[in-house]
Amino acid sequence: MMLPLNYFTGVGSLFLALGIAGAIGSRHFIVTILSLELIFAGSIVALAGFFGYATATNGEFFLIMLSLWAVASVEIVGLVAFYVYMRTKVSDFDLKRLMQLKG
Amino acid sequence: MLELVAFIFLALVGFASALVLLLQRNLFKAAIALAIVFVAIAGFIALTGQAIVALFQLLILVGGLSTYLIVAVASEKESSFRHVDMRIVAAVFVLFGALMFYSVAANSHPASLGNSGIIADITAAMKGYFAFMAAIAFLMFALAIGSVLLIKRAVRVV
Repeated sequence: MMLPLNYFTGVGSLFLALGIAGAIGSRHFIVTILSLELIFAGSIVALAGFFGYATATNGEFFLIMLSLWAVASVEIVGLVAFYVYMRTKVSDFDLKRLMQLKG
Repeated sequence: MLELVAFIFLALVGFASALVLLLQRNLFKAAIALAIVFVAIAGFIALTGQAIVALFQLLILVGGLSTYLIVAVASEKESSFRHVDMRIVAAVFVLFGALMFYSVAANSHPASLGNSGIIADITAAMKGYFAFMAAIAFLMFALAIGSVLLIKRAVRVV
């Protein structure tokens, strides 16, 4: 017995909401980025639910999804590399303090 | 029944890990919590019957991305400030969660979504290029790994 599609879309929407809340409410650069990953995770759950319930599934489409995931995750890792470099320039990643820096 | 129990377990683990990610002051533990969220997502994908996609999720996002994230932030100390303002997080989560949950999950969906023409069109257009796209994806991963390693080396030299 397969679970109703509403279950997967509901969980995906809640992950999405938590990711948005974390991105808006976070003060740390990396935590904001990780919250964006939560948004990404919620969309994957909903997408998997929709494709799981489609009668005509194509195995080649999985490769497209894999490539999209790879591109998005590379952006995240690139941002983390930027963070590691910026650690030598600033001592703290409190966004409230960074916004007050001048020059 | 077993699927429902597994679904509820995965949902609880996923949400608990997402909350730990936001509440932790240690980035290393936050990155591990994100990896647990990805494992829960892989479980959800497996419950829809797409085992290969779930395997890719584990290999790429957990085995690849999460590992590099953990390596990148492993040397960070515990932050001196709280990473999130929980009042804002709670308010935004309740607002967006209620809106999206009601609009997405409350509506009844058809028992089957039928033959999706969009998927067929996209796959027909991309036919013959899948190996090329997969190779590009792996090359970009190599780029990401290399950039993290080079940045860490440059920071040590400085």
